[in-house]
Amino acid sequence: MKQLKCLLSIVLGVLLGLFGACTKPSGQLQKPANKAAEPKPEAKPTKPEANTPEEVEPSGKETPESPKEEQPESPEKAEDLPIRRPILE
Amino acid sequence: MSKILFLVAKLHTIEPFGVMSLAPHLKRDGHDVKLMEAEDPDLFSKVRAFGPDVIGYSVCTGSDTYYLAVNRCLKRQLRFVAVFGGPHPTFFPEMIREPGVDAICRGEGDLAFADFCRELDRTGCVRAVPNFTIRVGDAVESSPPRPLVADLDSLPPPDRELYYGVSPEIGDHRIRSFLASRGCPFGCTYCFNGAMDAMYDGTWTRVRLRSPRSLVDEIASVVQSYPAEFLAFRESIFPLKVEWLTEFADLYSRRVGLPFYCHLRLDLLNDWNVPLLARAGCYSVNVGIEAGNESVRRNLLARNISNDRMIAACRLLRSHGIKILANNMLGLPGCTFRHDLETLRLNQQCKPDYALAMLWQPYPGTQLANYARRHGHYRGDYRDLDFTYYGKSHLTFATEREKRRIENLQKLFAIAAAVPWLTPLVRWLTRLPPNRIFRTIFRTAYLIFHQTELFPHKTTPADWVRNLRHVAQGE
Repeated sequence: MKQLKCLLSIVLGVLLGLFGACTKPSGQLQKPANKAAEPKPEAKPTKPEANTPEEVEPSGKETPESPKEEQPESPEKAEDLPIRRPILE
Repeated sequence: MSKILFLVAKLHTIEPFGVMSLAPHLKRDGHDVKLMEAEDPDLFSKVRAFGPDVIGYSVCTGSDTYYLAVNRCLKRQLRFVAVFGGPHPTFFPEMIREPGVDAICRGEGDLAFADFCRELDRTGCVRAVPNFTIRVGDAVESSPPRPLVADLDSLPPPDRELYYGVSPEIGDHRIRSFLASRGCPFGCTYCFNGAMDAMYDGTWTRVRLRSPRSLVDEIASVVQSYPAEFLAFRESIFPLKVEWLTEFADLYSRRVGLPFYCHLRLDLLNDWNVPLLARAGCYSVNVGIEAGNESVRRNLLARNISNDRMIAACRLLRSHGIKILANNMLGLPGCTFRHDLETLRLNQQCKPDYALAMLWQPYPGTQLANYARRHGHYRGDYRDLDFTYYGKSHLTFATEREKRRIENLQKLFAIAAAVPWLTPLVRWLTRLPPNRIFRTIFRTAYLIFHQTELFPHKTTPADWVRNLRHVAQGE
């Protein structure tokens, strides 16, 4: 039985490997709708008062409506985030 | 009171015990606690709608870069205090200097995280309460850990609804996990136990057991509240003390009676505890073979057990109808492809139901990682490590060809262990470049053996299709 399961794994593995090569993985993290600045560093981080977009400090010259807001300055763009691929038990 | 959000990368059928254990203490203090999946396509809008004051991440090495990136993205949109806990920040406190990290929680966080949130509420300021390291400008403040919780029965049960409630798929899953103990008395060099013991002044290796009654009470309550067909005990080593196991076997078989899986050490098994485990309902066990070469096992891994003893213990388990999942580590520092073939041979002699091989990873804080760095086998800075230990090795070997063969052998290991006459073919295949087909064969065998041999539970054709699709997509 164990050997049969192994042979099944080989056959299925080859087929799924070929099938997977033809399909794109899904599940990319969504890009944030708006870019806002990271909070400026403080002597000690404090508890935020509230999380409304208006209370987030804008980043220098950029306003939330600026055309550049769709292009995050940070190299870690949302769409570049690593996607975890664990194996389900 | 604060709004506290825990983010897990991806919902998994194995429950995140760290997070579930912290939540009851926070709720007791009146905080609003939620858990979300970081890969949720609507993550940002959901987080914004909740408006957390604190976001907590439980981080293993390999997932650190992922969580840091998620955190940076969220920090660009929202203001909150970001707290990182779990094994990686515990053993790599340098993480506090990463952008966007406000605090890290080291060691056992059950009570410490609640203290931190209470202080945050009281003062409006992040403070280095025991177990915590915080950044103050360019400086770092750290407090030593509070003592370990001595009586595990005094802790509230993990908040399962926090996790099961997130997705119907997880809520309906038929395997439920539990912890019967914390700590491990052994000093295997690849494990974090040594570093934990140093952090806790030698108290970590004193194993703390839950009482059988408290454990069975929790299990009975969970299986009444949620669908369950099979249970898994996830601690390093399932308790085998005579009195404990006798009482547990009696209570569990009378009040629960579901088949279960647990982790054991082969050198602890004997003619009285294996029948008792079987009588309690033990269906499958996870045991470490780790390395086939006795000298490597004793001197490099500090696992003092002979090959003969392991073969005999596996025979004993089989004679009582207990299925065996054998863990193995390939690509150990200073070892070669030939050493890994010895590991394959020992698995063929032990005849486990599934021989799982992983590629050893130099996790920070472990003695073996320090050894690998000292001897030039590992030259990275831990940031290069992946989510998974089934992908590739990060060590330097004598040649790239040798490394490739080890990585390929890991993918085909289970097949060669179960079908020894395929060994010559597998050896030949290891000469090929690492490829998608080998990876998919590994994942398919993993799925089939876990679902049919080791964790048998009801699976519909739709479940199989979904899981096989995950395999095809490399998940």
